[in-house]
Amino acid sequence: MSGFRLIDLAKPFVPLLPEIEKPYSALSFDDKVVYTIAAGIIYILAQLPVYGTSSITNDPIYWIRPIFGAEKGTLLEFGAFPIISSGLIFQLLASLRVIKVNFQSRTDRELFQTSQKIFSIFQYFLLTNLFLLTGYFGYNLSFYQIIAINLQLVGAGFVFTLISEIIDKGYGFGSGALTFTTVNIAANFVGDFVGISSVHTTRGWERQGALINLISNIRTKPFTNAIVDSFTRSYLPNLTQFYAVAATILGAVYLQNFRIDLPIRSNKVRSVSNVFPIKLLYTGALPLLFSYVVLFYINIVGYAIVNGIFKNDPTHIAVKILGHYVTGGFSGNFVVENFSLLYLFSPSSGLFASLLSPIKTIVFFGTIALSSALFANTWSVNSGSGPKDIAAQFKDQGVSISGRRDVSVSKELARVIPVAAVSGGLALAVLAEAGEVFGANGKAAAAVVAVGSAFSFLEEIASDFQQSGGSQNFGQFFGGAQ
Amino acid sequence: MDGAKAPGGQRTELKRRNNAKSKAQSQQAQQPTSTKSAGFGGSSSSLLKLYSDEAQGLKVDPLVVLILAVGFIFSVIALHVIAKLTSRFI
Repeated sequence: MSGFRLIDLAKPFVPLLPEIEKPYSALSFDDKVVYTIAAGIIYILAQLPVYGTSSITNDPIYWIRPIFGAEKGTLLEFGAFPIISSGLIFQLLASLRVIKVNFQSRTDRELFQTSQKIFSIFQYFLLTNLFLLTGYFGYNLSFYQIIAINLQLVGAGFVFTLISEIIDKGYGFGSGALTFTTVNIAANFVGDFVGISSVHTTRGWERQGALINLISNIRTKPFTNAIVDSFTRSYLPNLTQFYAVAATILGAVYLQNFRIDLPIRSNKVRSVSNVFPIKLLYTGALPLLFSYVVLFYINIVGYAIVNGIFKNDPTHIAVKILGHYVTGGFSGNFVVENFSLLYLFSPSSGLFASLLSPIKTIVFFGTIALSSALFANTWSVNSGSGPKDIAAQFKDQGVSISGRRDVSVSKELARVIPVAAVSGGLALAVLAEAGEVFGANGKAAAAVVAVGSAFSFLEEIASDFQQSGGSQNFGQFFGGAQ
Repeated sequence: MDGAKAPGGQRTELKRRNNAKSKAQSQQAQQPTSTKSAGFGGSSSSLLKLYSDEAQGLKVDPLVVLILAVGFIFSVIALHVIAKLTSRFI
């Protein structure tokens, strides 16, 4: 290996960074359940307000938060975004051979992984200080406040990077970052529907949950007002949002059923044939997640430039081009409302708004659909479950597709997999955006991501369950009476 | 340049160079693009597993990390409580 390689930058940090030990032997089903639940509970526990901030009102990324499990003004300010984006960026760069990594060499893999980890923690640091700089946590903060906010947010990021590593290393099911987002999205979905906590708004105390709000509205307001208000309140979850998200979830579950069964046969034993299913959602909800990573970067860079450099001055030409942020109505969200670049890359607030500004709707949808399709294609080929890899697996197991010779298995798979992945990614993007049209503020897309991750988890849990069986305590719980 | 000079002049030289080039290219194309395709676990088609390899470094037990994480969260709670009690804002 000659020349400079990006991953070599991580070398000095390797001995310093904490590294979770790999389990000596595969963990039992019970242990995995406990670790996964513990990780989820700790993530939910971290929804604590950050200490040392002034009141936070101007939230520029409120519609991206649900997807990455982020909560405004809490330790989960950025959620799992840095972890996910760092993983995506490094994997993409390695696939496109922009950074040279020899995945067969152990030291290279270690460096690759450590650079991902460093970049993830670095992004927590960067985002925290970007937000501090732009006055998100309040203006005129004292030096100690800045230190305290940094320690809390970067510390939380560090902790969650490590916890996601625990899950990834095989102590839990599936993927750490996706566990966090899925747990948070599920908790919020329930909270948005039946949450009984009260929130102080400009119109007095209101209930968080849409259904609870409907009930309390019916008790206190005239009937028509009560119904209309529970379907349209814009600053807290409303019933329209809830139904849009629920329909999206059902749609995502429905899409999980589509698959192509490739007939396979054994090369060694005669007349043993089976099917190898290739799902329409071959890449799950990852492409949609990656699309939102891109949107996050576009918005955060725009936000930083407008607020950090130009102080959100509406007369400046750069602010006119990029977009001038204004605090939106009741919600305290920071939105761009006049026609500009950032305006195009943010969702509409509701059905009427999306019909009234068709260009924005089309550009926003187009960005997500196009990037989803692109990511689905790249990911399906490069993630290690591409046609070549599956063909190699087939060869190892002495299996081939019926009616095909060994050599053409890879070609046949290459005909099916990317097509399935791209159309699956596109279908999910369209589904999520159909939910977003109703003003779900990212919750419909989040629901799609959560359902996709949950199904992937389910696959892994099911295969684990079959291996370690019903003798386990939690196993019995999952499998019913056995 | 020189050394083992191929007979037949430039045509074969070119051919040989192109051959070597395409060989290197195809070799590069066959190198695995992810930890999973190299056969060492990691992200699958629908799951993002980032830290699945064991690296050198400060080895820590997962339980210790979980307990320290809870400790971290409680220290932030403590900060809030202390600030409330002493009614002082740093």
